[in-house]
This record gives sequence, C-alpha cells and structure tokens, in this order.
Amino acid sequence: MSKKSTSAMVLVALIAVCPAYGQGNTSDIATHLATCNQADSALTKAECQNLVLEFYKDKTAESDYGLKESLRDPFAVLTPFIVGVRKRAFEQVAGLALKSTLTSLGQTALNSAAQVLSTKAATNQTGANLRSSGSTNLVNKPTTTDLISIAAESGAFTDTVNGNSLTAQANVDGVRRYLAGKPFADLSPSTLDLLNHITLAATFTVAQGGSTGVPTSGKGTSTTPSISSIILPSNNISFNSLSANFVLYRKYSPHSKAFLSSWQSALKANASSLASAITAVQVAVLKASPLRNAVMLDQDFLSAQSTWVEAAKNDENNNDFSAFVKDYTTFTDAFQAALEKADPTNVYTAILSINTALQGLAEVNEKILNEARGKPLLTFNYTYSTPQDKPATHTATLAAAYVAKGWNGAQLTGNAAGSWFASLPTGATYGRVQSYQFSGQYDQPIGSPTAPRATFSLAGYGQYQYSPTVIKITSANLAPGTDITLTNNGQVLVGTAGWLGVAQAKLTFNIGKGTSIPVAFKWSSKTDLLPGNDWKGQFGVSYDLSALSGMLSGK
Amino acid sequence: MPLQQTSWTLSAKTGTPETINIDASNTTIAGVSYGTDSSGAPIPVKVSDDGKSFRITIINGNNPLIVTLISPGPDSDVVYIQQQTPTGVVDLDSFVIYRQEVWDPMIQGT
Repeated sequence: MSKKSTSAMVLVALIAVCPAYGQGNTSDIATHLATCNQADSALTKAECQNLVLEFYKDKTAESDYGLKESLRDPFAVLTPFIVGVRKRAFEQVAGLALKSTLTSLGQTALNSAAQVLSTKAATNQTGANLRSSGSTNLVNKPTTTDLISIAAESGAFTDTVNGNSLTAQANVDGVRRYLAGKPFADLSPSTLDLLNHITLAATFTVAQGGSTGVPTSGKGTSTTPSISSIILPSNNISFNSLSANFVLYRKYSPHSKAFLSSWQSALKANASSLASAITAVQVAVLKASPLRNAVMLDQDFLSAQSTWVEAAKNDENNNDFSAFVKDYTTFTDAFQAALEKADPTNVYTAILSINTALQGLAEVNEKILNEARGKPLLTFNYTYSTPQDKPATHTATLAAAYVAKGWNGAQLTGNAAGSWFASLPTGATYGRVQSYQFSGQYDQPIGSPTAPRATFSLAGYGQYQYSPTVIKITSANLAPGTDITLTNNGQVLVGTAGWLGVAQAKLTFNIGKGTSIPVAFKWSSKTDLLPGNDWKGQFGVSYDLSALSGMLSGK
Repeated sequence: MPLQQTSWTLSAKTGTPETINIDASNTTIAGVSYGTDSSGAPIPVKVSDDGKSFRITIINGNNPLIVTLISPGPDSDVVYIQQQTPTGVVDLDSFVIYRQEVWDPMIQGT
C-alpha cells in the first residue's frame, strides 16, 4: 500500500472516530488534517488532531481566557508530545551510546505485556484446525497468536490414518508491527490496527508415508522377468491446508450498561497494576520538572511562545490553517531547542523514561479493556485443504467463544462449519457439498486463570457426510498385475455416508514463554475409511513467538 | 477564580483551593497527583466517585499537576478540562484522547 493511500485511510479514520470535532464539514476536517500531516515536524504531526480541534472548533486563541494550555506548553498533554519527540530521543540516546541500556529499559514493560497478551487465555489456537491432517484441535478457537506461532502435531480425528503436521500462523498486524519496529499497544492508533483481526495459517504434512508408481527402463539382470512399472515408497513434506481467520464481532459500546459494568469490574480487579502504572508515569513526569522549569526561563523560547500566541489568533481570524500549522511548528522547534539547551545530556533520557511509563500504562489499560470485553467472540475461518489422496475442499467455519465469569477463567467454544469440494470431476457420483459439522469445547485453566500451568479441555464433534469418503487413485493404488485402465481423475468411494461423532479429552501444558504442549486422546464412532470406532492418542508442541523477549521495540 | 494563564504555566495564589473537572463522553480520571512528599514521591489527590473531578490546594512554587485519564474507547474521545466560575465554565484545555492520556500542566503557586 502506498504511503499516500495509507495516509488517506488514517485521515478517514480520524474523522470517523472523532465525531466531537463537531458540527463541521467532513471534507474541511480531512483537508486540515492532510495539511497538518505535511508539516516538517514530528511534533506538529503528532499534535494534528489537537490543532484541528482548536482551529476548527475551540478557537481558544481568540477567547478571553486565551490559547489553551496544551498549545502553549506541548509537555502538558503527554501522548502527542512523546510520540512527537521519541524518535529523536532514540536517535540522540543512540548517539550517546546509551541505546542498549535505555532500549532494554523501554522494552521491559512491552515485552512483559506481550507475553500476557499472547498467553492470557491459554486457549489460543496455535496448531492446525480439524480439517488439517495431524491436528490436535477438535474445535477451532476464535483467538490466535498476536504475532507468529509454530506448532508440530501428531494425531487424527476423522481420518483412519494418523498424520503429522507443521503449522505456521501469522497475525497480519503483529507481523506489520514487528517489521515496522512498533510495540503491540502503540500510542499512535491507526486504521492499520484493524489488520489485527486477520490471522493466516499454513499447514504442511510431514513424514508422510506413501507410494509412487515408477516406470522401469529395463532389466537389471537377465533372469528378471519384464516389468513395465514398480511401486516405490515415498516420504515427503507436502502442503496440506491454508486458512484465514477473520474476527467478525469484537465490538462494544462504551454506553452499554453491560459493558460499563464489566469495565468497572475490570478496573477494580486491576486497581493495583493500574495504580502502579499511574505512579510510574507520575514519577517519570516529576523527574522532568527541572527541565521544564529551565525552559520557562529561556528567553528565546518565551519570545517564540509570545509570537506563536499572537500568530495563532491572527491565523484563526484569517481562517488560514496552513499559516496556523507553520507558526505552531516554529514554536515547537523553539521549544525543543530550549529543552535540549536546558540539559543536553539528560533531556532525552527523561523523555524515554516517560515513553516507557506511558506504554506501561497503555498495556495495563489494554488488559483492562480485554477483560471488560469478555463477551462472546465470533470469528469466521476459511480453510482450503488438500489432504493426501483426497480431493481438495473448501471449509467455512463460524466460531464463537464465551469466557464464563466466576468459573476461574473457563471458556466455552462452539463451531458450526460446512465443507464443499473445490471441484467435481466429470462423471462424479457425489455432490458438491461434502459435509457439515458442529462442535463444542469446554476449557478449564488449571491454576491462575491469567497464567495457568495447564488447561484441561473436553470437546465433542459431529459431522454429517453426504457421501462416503472420496479417495483419488492412481495405478500405484492398484495391486501389481491388475489389468485396470485408470483415467486422470480416477476416484473411488470408501467408508460410509452419514453421521460421524468424535470426543476428545486434552491437557495442554503451558510451559511459559509462549510454549505449550497438548496431549490428548480421542474416540470416534468411525473413521473416514473404516466403519468401526477408533481410539487414538494425540501429541503436539507449539511456540508463540509473540512471547519472545526483544522482538518488539518501542521505537 | 479559575487558574490563570502565565506565559508558560497555569497559576494561582498559594493556599487557594481549586476544583477542576472534565467534560468528556467516556473518559474518566484514573489518578491525580500534585506536589511531592519529603522523599520526592508524588502526592496523590482524591478523585470524585464519578471520576469526573478533583480538588487541589495550590502549593508554593512550580509543580506539575499530573492527571491520568482513561477511556474504554472504542473510539477517540475529546476531553475538556474545566473550572466552574460564578459566571460560567472556563476551559483550561482540551484534547483528543484515545484510550489513555496524561494532562500535566505546570502549576505556579504565587
């Protein structure tokens, strides 16, 4: 996506999310924001929303009381100020050869929070879904990784033959943030954050046993009879499925009584960590007080401020927003120069400390919000799978989850899904729809609900299949010497149509740092190829990279 | 009498009580501190039960008033920092907030 179109999306979002800009004409606001974002100053750009608010609605520069405080003292509203100066602060601190120390300080809160976010429910899905060979997940979970996860699994649910698979998942927004060097809880929201609702996954079947028919090119010994082809064993890694997960419903209304009640409860439950985060911000701000007092005595700055206050009034009177932005930039340049003059050694250390504290506050607030949003999540999952020896299928799944209050973090998840064949060969004796499926799962964290040592799960699954299982065959499937001519789309039906039920009990050990080990066994009323019931064990190991220390920086 | 503007700070006479409130849709005050104790730690200020106002007594010298605001979102909110006067409401400041913000003007006690 081009930088220009990204900016346009951000502008549209700013208008959409800020109805309090008021009575205004949307195109005027968009124009003002676009003008402001052209400014040659990071601090001015960070203040654009507030500049538009002043110019378009408040007009305090023309009021009896005078220009509002935050436009006379950029330090007075912390987030835009920190966002506007932290890049320079990182650069300056790097120049002072202190980067490693300060960066690690700055990342501590972020990375700790990343682990909390990634493993908070301990019921995220990191492995393959049911339609993939080797999956240990009978039910699709609506929550997945925040960054990248990798899982190796062994088992089978409806298949007669066990499979082994490797699954890699990536949250689109998590990868974007990693590549851009942005933390999870950024202080600068953008419409690109919506990418957080999309997770992509690819599953590969590994150590797959099979056989391949190979034509011979002659006799190796004179006593060997003439054989035109032989069957050789094959063992390879092959693509199994690709899926995309979209969060369809995760909205809430801040005015809803139910949400407000949950919000208040979450605030109360996290009062201690919120108080600590607030105190950290207060301490960091207090440490910067001598700097601010020094700026107050800087005559160059005071002169620039006086000029700006007068210019702002004139610009508003003349309805000249470009001049308003330009004059503000001149003022903030003088402000930054005065800050650097006050204490060139420590100014950016103080700013980075505030940045760290603010991001710690943002993480706690995000956690509170996630708790308050403990409503059912509904997600849509699409999977394209190409199982070995079977026709490719499309599967659409709706997954809903509910975290039960007062049950020590227990979670209920339900799925409804339908599968259909990607294509029908000429002369197919079965229809396009393969099956529909319903499933449910109960997860009970063992130990602390926020950091469980393990999660016990019970799941049930029902599948109605319209025709017996379709198996693709080649000459390799035929016994040697069989005199049958196969076409390119040779298929047979195996097993039976109708209902198939599966039950699973699973214990997922949360080793910490994003690592989990699911161990399970399942019973099924039949399998895809054989009519009798079936017991199987399942095992896996998964790793969620979003819990890795040092991957996310707050640059 | 509301806090007055100086060139750089907000100011009032030392010892004067000042009540400050916010006007916002979803935002509430999560914490306030003003001044430091003998060990240099921030002194907390009591916030009203509805999270919309607090009261301070002006102390001598320049001290940041640190007001932490939180909003559940999901959209941005606009916060007006106000004081009531006999003749009406004075807006000390206003800004757009997304989820959390810290308003920390320097207060000069004279």
